[in-house]
Amino acid sequence: MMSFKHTKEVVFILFFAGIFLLSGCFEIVEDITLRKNGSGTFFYTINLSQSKNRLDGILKLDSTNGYRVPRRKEIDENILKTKTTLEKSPGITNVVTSSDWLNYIFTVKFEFNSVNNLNLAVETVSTELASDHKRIPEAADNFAFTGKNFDRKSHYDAKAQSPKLTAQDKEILKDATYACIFRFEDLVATNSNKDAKISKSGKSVMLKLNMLQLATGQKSIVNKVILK
Amino acid sequence: MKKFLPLVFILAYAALNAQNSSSHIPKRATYIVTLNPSTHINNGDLKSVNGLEIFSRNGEYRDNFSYIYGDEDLETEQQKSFAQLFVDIFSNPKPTGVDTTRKIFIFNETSDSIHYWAYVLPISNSTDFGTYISTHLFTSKPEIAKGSGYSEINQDRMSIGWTNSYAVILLADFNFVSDDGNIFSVVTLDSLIAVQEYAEADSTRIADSTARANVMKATEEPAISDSLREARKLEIMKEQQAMLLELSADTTPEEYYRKPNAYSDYSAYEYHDEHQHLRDSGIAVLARKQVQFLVNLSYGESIESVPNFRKVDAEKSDVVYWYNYGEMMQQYYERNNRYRYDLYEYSGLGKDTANIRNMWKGSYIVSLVHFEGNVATMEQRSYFSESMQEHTMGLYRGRVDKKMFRYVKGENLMGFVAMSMDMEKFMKFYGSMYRESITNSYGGFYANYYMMMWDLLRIFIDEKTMYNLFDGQFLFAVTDLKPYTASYLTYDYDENFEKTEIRKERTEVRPEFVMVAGIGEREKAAQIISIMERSGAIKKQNNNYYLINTPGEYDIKVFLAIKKGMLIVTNNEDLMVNNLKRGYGSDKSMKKKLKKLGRKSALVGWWDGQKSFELVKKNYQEPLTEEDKKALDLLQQDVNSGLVIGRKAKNGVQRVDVRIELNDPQPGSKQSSFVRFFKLLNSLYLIRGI
Repeated sequence: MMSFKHTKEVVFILFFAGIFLLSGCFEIVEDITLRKNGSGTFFYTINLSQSKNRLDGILKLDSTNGYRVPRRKEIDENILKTKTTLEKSPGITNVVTSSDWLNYIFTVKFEFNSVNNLNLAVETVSTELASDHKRIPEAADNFAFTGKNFDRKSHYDAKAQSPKLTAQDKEILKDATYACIFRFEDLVATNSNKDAKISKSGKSVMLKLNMLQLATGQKSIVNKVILK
Repeated sequence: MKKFLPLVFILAYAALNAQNSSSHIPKRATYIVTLNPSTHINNGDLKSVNGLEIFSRNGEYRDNFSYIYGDEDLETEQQKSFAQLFVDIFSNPKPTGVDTTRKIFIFNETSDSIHYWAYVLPISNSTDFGTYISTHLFTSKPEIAKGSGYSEINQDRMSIGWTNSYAVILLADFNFVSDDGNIFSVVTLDSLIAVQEYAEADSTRIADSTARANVMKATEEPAISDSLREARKLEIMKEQQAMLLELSADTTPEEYYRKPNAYSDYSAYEYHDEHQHLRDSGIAVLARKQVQFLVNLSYGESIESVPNFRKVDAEKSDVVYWYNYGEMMQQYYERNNRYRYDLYEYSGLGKDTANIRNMWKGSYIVSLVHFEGNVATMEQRSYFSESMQEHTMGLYRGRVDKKMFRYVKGENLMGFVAMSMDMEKFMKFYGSMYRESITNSYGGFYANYYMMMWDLLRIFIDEKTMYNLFDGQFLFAVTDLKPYTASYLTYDYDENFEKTEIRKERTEVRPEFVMVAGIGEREKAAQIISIMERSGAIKKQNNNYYLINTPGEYDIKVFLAIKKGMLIVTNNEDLMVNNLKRGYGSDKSMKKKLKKLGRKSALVGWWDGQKSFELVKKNYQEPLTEEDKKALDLLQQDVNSGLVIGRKAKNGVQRVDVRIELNDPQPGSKQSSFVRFFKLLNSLYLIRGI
């Protein structure tokens, strides 16, 4: 069983060499626009702006709270690696990454031609960026789309991992949020997660959760959206 | 290897029984800690502190402190057993077989890839020791290799060699990041067994576990076919066998892995996780060889041959820290080359560091710690090599100007450092450090150009201006800890969840500081300020002082002013707006006795522990846990102050005295200062949640 430290790498997809593990407050936004044919846009944002003053100091250190502090160049290299890996991934186009080092906001955006290729791309990137280059099961197969049904899945085993959370892990996660926004061409009929909201237009679903609640299994990211 | 062992055992027996335990410490050890536990065992102090979380390492933050003990790579249960060994040594030593009337040494030695942590324990009963370690320290009953008077266990990343007199426990960990300079980051060392296992069984497992990744890689790397990959694996395995033969020959591990460019051809070959078990086997082989290397260490290679070490070892102290500065400097630059690309890549620091090492070679820093009454003292001595004496002797001189203290607000003063130094000496010292570092950083042809550029620069620039821009007097003080408003970017979502970036505010607690530096060349300083203002780096405020244009201008306001021949940099707006002209009056400024203390020597540091913990408690923004509150209460109640005084350097030795004073114990308390100090240290360990 993977340790929570490893799982955190997974949950956060490790785009930035675990820099969030060192910060306090942060927010992640997973924004997916899906067309009827299964193609779409994936837009991932990691915003550490609330911790920027702390990070300014931390990035000058070799390690903090038991975590090795990545160098800025390492992070830049990982962002570049993310971009090049995605560009080589089948069915992925228009890859754009951005790094705002003043506010510590990092984004990656790309087009995918099918949800299967989106899954493969996310998995490939996470394997490529994982410290041990091992395949990370939690990063695989997180999305499914049949034309009328969209599934946001999760392979994170909160029951097994929750007891392994240290006070420090909890401290890091308690002010962090993870938001999933899914946008469709058709109207949403139902969605299974009671914490999710449907937009006024009826075509988008948003789920914004506290990361500690996610990590401890009090809340779940899993959502099944059925379109009209 | 079998042929090799008896010889090792005979040598080990002779060596271990004939010499002091410190003779098994190599002189290139990065640092050595000497513990003299007898006094504190006899009076029961060590028994009282043994149960503290920091030593027993129970509790949530245990993992974060493993690096202190060098057992990061051991399994959790084994880490606890290892910690328990020391709890037992200090509480009930008899069953451990360790002789606590003699000194215990702990040292660290770092190669290019491995940290070796070694514990040298004096032994009173080798049978008890052997029984204790074989029943407590290992996950399964270990095999004990026995020779004439020498025994050895090599298992679970731990190698232990012992005789009737001494034991060496060696832990090897391998925590450097993967990089091309680290031979363990790719396929490298192995034992024959591991290679065979790999060939016969693991290739299937590896193929399974990475099948999916390989499918993806195949799309990215069409040039490398599976058959080519397999062929490459076989090639590597052959190389590994050759390496092992070399390893088992009579070369020391040091000689082996310091070989230039050893197997660097594989650095581009992406085999990390697949070969972890091979690397583990390699470490086990090296750890075993290293123990044998240590027990057979020649006098010339041991720390015993360093006269200053012998001198310090003969002095009475509870704890002695010995830092090998030459070795540390070399490793610092080497590691920075791997970790910290930005500055060092361009400056050339951190590449070939032989010159830096040569500059510092023979320089040591020694700290002698004593506990007495309410006071813990640490006398720190820097022994400089002859080449360094030229730069360092007389570096600190004079006293800071008393006018500087006017700009320090006294009400919540947490601490200050006052320093007066010879700027010319200081600048020349760093100049030569830089020059030496680039001498062979770029190697051959380019090195000459860099050297020429550096030397030409010194002709063109006005060296005197550079040396004397500041007069060498500096004062830095932390005058408060208080909430500031900081801003950050977040998102607002409309009814259709389209996001807009918005700026919000939050409260953060930050220290308030002031730095005052004496200016030597006032005219030149005015020119520099003018250039900075023109370029927009600083903005004039109220025609009197400047706001430094930091990138995060929304949050951190740092001000700069020049007054009465002094440069003042602070985030204390009150000082700039209301008190810049004359500084703080006697009612608001530092206490008179502190000003006097600040001028006691060329280097003075002072810290008000009580005030610091009081301010942390008062200003911390998040609700504190009960444990944190308890720990902070104890710290606030017991810690009084810290003081650092630099003494005048003489005979190649710079002495700095550090003194930490506790408050008087609570009425009725029978705890000694030793116990109270460690309880405070434990409290700091426990408030990691803050």
